[in-house]
Amino acid sequence: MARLIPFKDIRDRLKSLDKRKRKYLSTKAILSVRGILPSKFRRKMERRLEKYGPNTGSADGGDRVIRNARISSLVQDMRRLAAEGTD
Amino acid sequence: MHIVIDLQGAQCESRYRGIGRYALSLAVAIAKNRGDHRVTIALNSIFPASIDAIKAEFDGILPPSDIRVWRGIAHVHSRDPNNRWRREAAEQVFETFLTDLAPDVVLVLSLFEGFADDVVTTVPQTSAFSTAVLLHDLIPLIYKESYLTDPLRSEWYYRKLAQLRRADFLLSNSASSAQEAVDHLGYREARIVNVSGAVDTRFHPREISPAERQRIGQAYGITRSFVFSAPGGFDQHKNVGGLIEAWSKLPNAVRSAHQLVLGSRIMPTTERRFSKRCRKLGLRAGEIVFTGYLPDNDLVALYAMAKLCVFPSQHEGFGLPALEAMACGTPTIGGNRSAVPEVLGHPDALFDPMSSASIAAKIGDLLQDSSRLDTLRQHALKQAARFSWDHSATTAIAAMERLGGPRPTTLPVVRPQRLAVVLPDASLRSGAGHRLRAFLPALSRRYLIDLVDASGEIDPNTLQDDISRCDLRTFRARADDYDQILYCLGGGLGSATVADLARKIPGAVLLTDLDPSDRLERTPALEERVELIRYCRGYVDFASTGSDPATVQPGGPLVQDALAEAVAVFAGSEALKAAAAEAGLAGAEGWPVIAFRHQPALGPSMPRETAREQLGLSDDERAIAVCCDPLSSQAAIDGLIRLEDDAQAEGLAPHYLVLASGSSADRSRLARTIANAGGLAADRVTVLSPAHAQSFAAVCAAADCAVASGGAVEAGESGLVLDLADAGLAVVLLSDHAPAGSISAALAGTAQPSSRLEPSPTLDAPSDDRSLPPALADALDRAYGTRQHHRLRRDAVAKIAALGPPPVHDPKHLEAVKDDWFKAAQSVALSLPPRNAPRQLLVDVSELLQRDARTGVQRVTRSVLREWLEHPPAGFQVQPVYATPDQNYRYATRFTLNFLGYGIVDVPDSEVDFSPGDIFCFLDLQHHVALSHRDYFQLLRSHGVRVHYVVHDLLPILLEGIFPQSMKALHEDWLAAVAESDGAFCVSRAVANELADWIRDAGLVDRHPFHIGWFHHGADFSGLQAWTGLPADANAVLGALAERPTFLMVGTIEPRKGHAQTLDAFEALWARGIDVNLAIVGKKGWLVDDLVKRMERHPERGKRLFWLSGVSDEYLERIYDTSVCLLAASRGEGFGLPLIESAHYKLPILARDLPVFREVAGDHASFFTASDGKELAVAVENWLQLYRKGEHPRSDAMPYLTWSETAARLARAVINDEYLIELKI
Repeated sequence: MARLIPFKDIRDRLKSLDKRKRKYLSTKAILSVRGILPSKFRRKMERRLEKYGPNTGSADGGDRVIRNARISSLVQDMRRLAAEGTD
Repeated sequence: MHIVIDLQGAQCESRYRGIGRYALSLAVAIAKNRGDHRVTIALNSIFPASIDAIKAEFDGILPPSDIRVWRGIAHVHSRDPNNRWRREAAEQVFETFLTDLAPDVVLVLSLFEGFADDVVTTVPQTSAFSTAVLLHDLIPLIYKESYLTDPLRSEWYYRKLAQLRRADFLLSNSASSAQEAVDHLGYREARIVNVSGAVDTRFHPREISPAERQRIGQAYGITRSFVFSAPGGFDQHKNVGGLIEAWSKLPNAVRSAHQLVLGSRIMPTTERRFSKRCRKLGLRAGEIVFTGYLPDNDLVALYAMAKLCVFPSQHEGFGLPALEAMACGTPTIGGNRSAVPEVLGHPDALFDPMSSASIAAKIGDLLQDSSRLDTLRQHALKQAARFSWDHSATTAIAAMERLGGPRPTTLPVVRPQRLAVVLPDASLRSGAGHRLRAFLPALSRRYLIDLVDASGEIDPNTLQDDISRCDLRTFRARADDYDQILYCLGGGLGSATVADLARKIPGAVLLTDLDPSDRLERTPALEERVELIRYCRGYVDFASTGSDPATVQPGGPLVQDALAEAVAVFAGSEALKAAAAEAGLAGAEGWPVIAFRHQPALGPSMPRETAREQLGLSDDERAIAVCCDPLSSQAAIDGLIRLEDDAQAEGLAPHYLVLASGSSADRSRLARTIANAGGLAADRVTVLSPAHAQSFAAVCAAADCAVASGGAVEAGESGLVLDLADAGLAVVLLSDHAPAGSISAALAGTAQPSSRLEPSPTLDAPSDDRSLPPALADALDRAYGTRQHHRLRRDAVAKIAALGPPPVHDPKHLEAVKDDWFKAAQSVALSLPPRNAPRQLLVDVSELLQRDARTGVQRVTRSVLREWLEHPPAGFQVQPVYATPDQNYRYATRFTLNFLGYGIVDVPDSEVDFSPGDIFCFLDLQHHVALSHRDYFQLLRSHGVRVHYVVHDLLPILLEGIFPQSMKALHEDWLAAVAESDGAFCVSRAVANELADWIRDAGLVDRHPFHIGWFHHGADFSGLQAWTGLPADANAVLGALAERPTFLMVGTIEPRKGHAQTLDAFEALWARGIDVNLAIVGKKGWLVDDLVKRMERHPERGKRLFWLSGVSDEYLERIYDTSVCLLAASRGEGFGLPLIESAHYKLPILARDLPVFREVAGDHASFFTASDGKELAVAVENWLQLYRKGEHPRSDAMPYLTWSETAARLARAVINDEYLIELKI
């Protein structure tokens, strides 16, 4: 029979985590019942999930990838060398 | 010594904390106290917002070129394990970037970064430089049970500790931190230097006025004398709980008379926790005050107002808040552990931070003993004065001098260096190869040489024994094996292959000719051809309009792509260097010249009889050796026919021994062409290879004289010609100026051998200087010794490739993985940019490319762009570029060719590439593109590209109610983006001032200098694509306009243009019987529906009121000629182009009294102020009276610029950054 994990254990486990990760996990848990959350609170939690979730927006604010000829040529070299290395 | 300081700690989140402020202050102080040392600051463009602020800190201390920016990779923080590949790739790039800076010491001021953000700090495992790390503390290690419970954080911290152990030496911020490194890391004491720290100069004793005391009191709830503590956070080791507990143990009298003020940013949950604790301890409300975040001014004021400052921390790396408090002259006490005692420096100021009773006793005693407080107050200032950033910096520099410097390299591998010499063709007797011949013996003493020739036809017999041959395929595959590569790049055959190789596999380039013809001949595809010319020369060659871009011939060199990444460029002659500099080749002025030295041929000699027998010549047959232009069969045939004509005139029928370089296929083709050509006896022509030693020896022995056309010499055959002269043959240069009879004189043996040989214009005179041969080897060594740029980039690419493909953590993210390769490559490309790339003036034409709305703005864009394309500013290539909100910037190749009259050409628009020194100019107005690419522009700026905008007006902001509200908001957003750039050029001084005022009012003045310049529009139609054609009723309209005085208004019908007021005025005039016309030229704009209805239904329409929409330039010109006055009633203009167009047509002007109209027209126009139609009617009537008397101001002499002058002036202002106003905090 499944046994509930004591709240104390959950709290201790969360406490041992990095603050950002703790916030991420707790927010994710809250949003698991998003259907019953008030819309304002839900939006707040969604913003918080975005903020603390892994791989969030980069510090430079933009994720545009430049693909000009020089960069493409470097990518070709990298791929070729990586392929040679794995052969 | 070259010190490179990694200052990412002052860029990331830490910049708001003590560590970031410490790092920045120490770096600035090191730069100030650097003496003869060179200091370079390394910044990461992943944090663009911080770059301008940091540059401002070093303004006037370091030259801007010593603040270098590299590009990290986004998403590398360690709290996400999926970031590992990117982080390791970024570390490789950063290490390569640091190596490229050629430092002696790299100083990492904040190593423990990168857990929660994208900082990449590293201590390389192997490097030519030593690395010093500033150790702030080891608190997480010492209190690991509190700080290292999260596995990810723990893994990150221990990785950083491993890097710390690798550091060559440490600088510590206190003796306590230094001891921690010894105790906990086992670091050698001799390799740690305490540089201590200091506080900012704003912390000093100051009087607080009663008003300010009151304000502070009200703001933070301070009602009585107080004890202040700024713990710098509420972590456990900060011991704020201990201080609160100690406070509760103070006597009631003390607590009643004082408050405890805790001044640090605090999270609400933490504050609630502490409040609960206070209640449990029985503390009264208001006894403990949490201020939350304190602005700097308030912090200093609280320090000054406090009766006592307490710093209860159990462990500190330095204890900056304690020093700040003492610098303000406040008695300060603190714990007797870690670094705090050395900061406080007084035994009476210490307590045991682990015991709340000890803290309470010390606070209680001092608050009740004013004499001890006074002693501590006096001590505070003396002690604070012992700490200064200058002292820290000089200590750090001394430590770096003693412990730093280049690392001793590992045992040198003693092996000869390998040099690949890449030649355009087989012959070492011609062109670039010939230049090299004299240097080969000296080079071969220093290197193992492989000779690579593009044609693959080197005759091994012509090579020295110690020089081997390598074919192209082998060279391409094994280029990495060579220590150095030298490309001999001339203009002859094979130069295209050499240029392509030099572009792909960078090396040193010996440039001997700038003739581009071979490259174009070998690039038949239109797409590649256009791209090659565009890259190397911009559009200047396309500007003289043709019908087919495939036939465009470049008017200058096409080697810029081959030189962009070159390790070094050597000029073959002073003349070539000068020509290259004139053609604007980047860095040409600094190229070393490798002077030409002719090396006599050492090939086999042969008896004349044997040679003639081998060549099938009879004893009495005359033979002429002919050097022909290897690039042009037709030139060769023309030369031969001319020779034959001369010979026939003398009654001779000589045999022609034609020496033609290139491949055997090229020679077969030439022989066939000669056979098929009329006027030549093919049986008297033999085509031979000069690269074949036996053939050349036979020609030298058998010929009676030699002839070379000027074209042949200029095409690089000079070495061959000199060899023929060395063989004792009379050599005649066949040019248009050659005197008649010179060939017969040569054949008859009356001409002096080689007497007529003179060097070609691009060839310096041969030198006999014996010191020359080692010159090339020395120059190569110097270049490769100091500039390993390309090799470093190659190594970075190899190291990233060695990480293997980016891992796929989630199949949904395959696209992102593909992006990882590009992000890593982008990081490499931006951190190690090409050094000789042509400088570009990137001109945004995003709006014009989508649609030519024929507005005033686009008229400016078209006119300036055309001028810039036809006459690019010296040293720059003008490259129109465009983007959409969703797509990256691309070169507008297709648009530009169409713009220049080539129609729609099927060529792709490649993505923009940029290098430091380029300039981006937003000539066109496209709000959305500018706003959606703000990050891109900051990236450009971070990497050395200046970004400038042209601002046409601020009317949507300044004229309330005339533009839609959305346009105002959009224009404000756009101007905010403009303010982030390096500067703006406005179309008038008036607009420049308006822009400056707006930026100041909007609070957008930043720490980076923002320059505002101005220019004026041009006023002729010659630069425009003339729009011709007249409507059917043109003559009738023009006739009606000529019947009575016509007032002309030109411009889109918009509320601001004053059409409604003008119509009111003319209705009043007509009502008073004044017989005048009003002609309005312009299309319908916005918010004018009522006015348009009024004009359409007006009873005078077609009689005395004319509204002409969509008129051609030709029609407008005729209307200008027919009118008597330009009525400029606009309430706001950026420039007012119709005013100078009127001046162009000598049309008098009646203009509203606006600053910009005064600026443009000066005394050459009449001005009016009118709040309604009646006042304007009076102004018009007054003007008419003056006009009838001939006393009205005339516009004939009004000065104005042509578009050509405007474009040149704007280009000069943009390139030289000429400005009127500088905005900077």
